[in-house]
Amino acid sequence: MIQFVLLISRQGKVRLTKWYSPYTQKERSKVIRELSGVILTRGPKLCNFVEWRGHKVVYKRYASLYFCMGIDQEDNELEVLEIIHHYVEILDRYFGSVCELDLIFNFHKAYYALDELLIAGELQESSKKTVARLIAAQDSLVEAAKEQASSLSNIISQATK
Amino acid sequence: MASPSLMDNLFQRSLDDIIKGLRHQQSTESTFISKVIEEIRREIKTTDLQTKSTALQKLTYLNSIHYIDMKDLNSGNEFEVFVRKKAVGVVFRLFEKYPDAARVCFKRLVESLESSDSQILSSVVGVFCELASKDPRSYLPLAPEFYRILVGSRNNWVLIKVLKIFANLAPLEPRLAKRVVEPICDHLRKTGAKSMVFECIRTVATSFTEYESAVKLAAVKIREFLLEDDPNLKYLGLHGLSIMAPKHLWAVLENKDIVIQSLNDEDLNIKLESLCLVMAMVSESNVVEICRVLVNYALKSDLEFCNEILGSILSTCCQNVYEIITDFDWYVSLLGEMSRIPHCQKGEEIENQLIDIGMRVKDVRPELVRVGHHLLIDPALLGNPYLHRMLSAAAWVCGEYVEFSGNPVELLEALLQPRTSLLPSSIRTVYMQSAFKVLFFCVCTYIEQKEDMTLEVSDLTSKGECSESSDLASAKAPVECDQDEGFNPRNSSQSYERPFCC
Repeated sequence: MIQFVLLISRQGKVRLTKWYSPYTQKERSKVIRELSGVILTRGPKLCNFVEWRGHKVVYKRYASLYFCMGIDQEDNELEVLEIIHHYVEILDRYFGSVCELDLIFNFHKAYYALDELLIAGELQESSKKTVARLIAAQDSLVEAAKEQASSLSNIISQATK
Repeated sequence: MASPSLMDNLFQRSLDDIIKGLRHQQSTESTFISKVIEEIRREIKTTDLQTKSTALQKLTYLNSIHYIDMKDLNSGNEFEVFVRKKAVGVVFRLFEKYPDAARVCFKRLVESLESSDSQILSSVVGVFCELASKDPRSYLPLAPEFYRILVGSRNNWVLIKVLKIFANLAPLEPRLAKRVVEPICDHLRKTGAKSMVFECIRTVATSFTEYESAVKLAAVKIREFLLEDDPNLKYLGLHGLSIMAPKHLWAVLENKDIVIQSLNDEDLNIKLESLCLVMAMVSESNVVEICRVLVNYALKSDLEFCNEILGSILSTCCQNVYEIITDFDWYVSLLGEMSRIPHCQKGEEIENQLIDIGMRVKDVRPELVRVGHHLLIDPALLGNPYLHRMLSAAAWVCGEYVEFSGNPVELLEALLQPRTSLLPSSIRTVYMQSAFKVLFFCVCTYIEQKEDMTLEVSDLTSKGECSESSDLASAKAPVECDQDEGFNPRNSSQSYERPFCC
């Protein structure tokens, strides 16, 4: 299973983290710090798999972002590369030519997409269309909820008067 | 806690609310959590899709952070495809913590295996993959189901998981292995997806090692990976070879040239994999050649890889009390050569081996002393802190077996040279003790020589009593000549086991 997902910029800023195993706060910062050091210093022509502290980490660079996923020893690295690519394509479809700025300002949507894609560290949705549909549905829910909240707050303020 | 108010019923608490609520609670966390679980229990049973999914989301969060007991919650009936998928995912984490729960939900999970919906199928197969890796025997009866999926499915994600399951099941049941090996080879031949190829190779190399044709096919595919330019495929090819190596060394030997070439690759991971493979190929007959090649690479490499190479040479050669070494003279000179490599940081290990070999192998002691001598006279080595331990071993060896030395005076000078002040005091102690041993040896030999000569002189004087002065004069001459020649222990070499030539 996938243990964690990290998105790190080329300057070492963390854009997204998702943990599928219990890691304490201290462990998390340690992982981020050390992995950033290892992955950001690797050249472009090297292979996308790194052995690190008994874990395997698969990473791929897209523009200015490194997408990293930590996996177990039995997992198939090429499969995980596919999963990373799948995620990037979903984001691309949703944002339309996604760039790092999109992810900075809409990180919550990046998280929705990731949650649709991976559950408990396993891929659970391999259709890009379905995920796009689900996120669109989520968006409309959010819009509807916002409207509701603004009208209900009136009701409540009136009810509590 | 108060009974659910109007507000609670109207608005389902979202995940954010739960998190905020938990953060505010400090002491009453468990009561808060149980209240939340009550809510979730109700929500899961509703038919409303959105409510259910939020409930599941909360459940997942709680499970991953707070490890709650979710056994009772699985009695809920979920029919909607979408929610079911998520439920399966959640349930699998639960099984890790509470294996009994697996028995409870088993029937429903098995039913899901027959589902025509690919999404449910992939989730369920994922769950079984994890379960089978922990307790394969219990899932053996499901093998026919998995076989059906193996042969019928086109979905690579699912197939990869099924292959992993069979990798766990096949060792338990040879008849199963026999049936499954053909479809696996079929996939290996036909698939276009590299991830699928790699998974097939891995499955064959771990659990189907007795099936020669399958292994040969896997070896062919590995070679294809190795010949690719893509560093990922190269790395995976080498990794596949290292999985095969224990039982099928021939596959590694077939690809020997590529493996050795990969020692030069830019990527450290690839270099390390090839180093492991090279060490796997080492045997009595080729150890000299391989070490030569490796030492050449070490000279050209950076610090880290150089020491990796030296470390693996040292550990492989000393395995099983130096099982693979037949020529210790060569090995001892190799140890000396390794110490001279600029990046070498393996002084301690070399020290252990020098002393170990010196004590075990009598015949190698002359060579050992020669190597030690060379190391001691080199002033440059004294400046390298990583080599100090090795110098200590060299000093000890030369002191202990000084009788094999060709030039003890030079040795003594080396042990007492001013640069030894760079050494730590524990090592200088060894140097001093060795210096005393060498000095003592020199003095003993000198005295013995003198005794021999005096014996000769007294022989001569007892014979030539008549012509005293001339005979005495002629008798004196040989002694003086000897003294002028200087002290040379080789004159007394007949008392030692082996004539030593430097």
